[in-house]
Amino acid sequence: MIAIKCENLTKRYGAVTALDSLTLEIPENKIFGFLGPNGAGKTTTVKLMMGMSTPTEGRIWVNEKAVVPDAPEMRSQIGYLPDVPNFYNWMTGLEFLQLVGELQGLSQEVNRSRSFELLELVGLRKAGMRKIGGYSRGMKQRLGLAQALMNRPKVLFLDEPCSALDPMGRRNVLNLILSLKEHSTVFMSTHILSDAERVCDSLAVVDKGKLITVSTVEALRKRFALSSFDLEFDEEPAELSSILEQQPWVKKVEKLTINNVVGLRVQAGDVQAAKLELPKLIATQRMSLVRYEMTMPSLEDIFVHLVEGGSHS
Amino acid sequence: MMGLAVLLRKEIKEQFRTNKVIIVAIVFLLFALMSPAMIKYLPDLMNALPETEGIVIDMPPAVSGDALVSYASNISQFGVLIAILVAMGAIAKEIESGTAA
Repeated sequence: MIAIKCENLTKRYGAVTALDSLTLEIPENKIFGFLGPNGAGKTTTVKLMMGMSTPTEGRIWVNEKAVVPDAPEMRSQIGYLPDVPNFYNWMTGLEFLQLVGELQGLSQEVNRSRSFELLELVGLRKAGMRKIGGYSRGMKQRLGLAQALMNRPKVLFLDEPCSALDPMGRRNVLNLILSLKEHSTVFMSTHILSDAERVCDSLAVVDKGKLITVSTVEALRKRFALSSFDLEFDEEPAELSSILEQQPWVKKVEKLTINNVVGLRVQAGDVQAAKLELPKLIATQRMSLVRYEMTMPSLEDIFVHLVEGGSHS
Repeated sequence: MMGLAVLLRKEIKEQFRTNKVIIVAIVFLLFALMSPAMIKYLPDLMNALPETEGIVIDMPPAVSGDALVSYASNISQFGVLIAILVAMGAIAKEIESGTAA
């Protein structure tokens, strides 16, 4: 089943195009990362998908039902954590969850047990008895996540779920998100790449309202493999460097100094040839190789590459 | 309209928790105490005014019924005003913080 689908989704605010014909299909029980720099249209997309905002053009389906603005029956199927969750400061965390449960029409016993269960899950068991006014930003974020899970949603929208969390809290929340995969589809917008890398099955990269690419983290890595090799030696590699520069499959040779160890970064024009020829060359030079590594680009490299590439076109 | 009942209950709870109920009660109490006093001392107040030619003010003696009438008329104005202010505050806060969505 397709959990979320949108076609040609466009949102304009006056002259500003916040989102430009986005077409996506997200299968069930997957964690989908929606990556983009600030102002790329992430929050706009999430709001459109939940029917909290009307698209200028295009259509959306969540759980194979067309999304229409202000449709309360859809809300029992989805959960939402806003980027900056806002609560009633005079309530305690527990009371807030129970209010959410009441609004969702849970029976009193279910409401109570579910509230306690979720407080435990997000690590607010003790703090749940205190007023929300005294919570830190990270605690509010976690309460927001608990609130979004009250109705066991089929589709969960998380708008930058880890943006205010400390490293421990971030790890807990990410693990929690991973565990949700069994029953729910998670649509998670973020600008933190390492988070996306850890939990997401697939990713979409957006910039300035335009979809740049959709793929899995692995496929992205492969596609943008920088085709470069890092080499380190015991000896000074000056001679090897000049020999390498004459090879037809080499594009560029750079000196690389890490912790006073001299090395080379070889960028290959022809990766396949480089894989075969490079070790051979090193052997004939009788150099003692300390490290040989084909560098994989981090998601961050790819992201910067994609976003910068997009801004030129 | 189950949502309405839940939200109304939340709103009333909020009035108690944030001590707004006490403020409202004090305003009503203040008027209740002031009205009889006003009525009682109004003739004296009038007499304290400097004598002006051509204007004769004749005050009937104050009775307890007058105090009630005065209180009721005050409350009918200020009560409405308070109700508007309280409701306005509740709605404005929800919209500003985004919790209304």
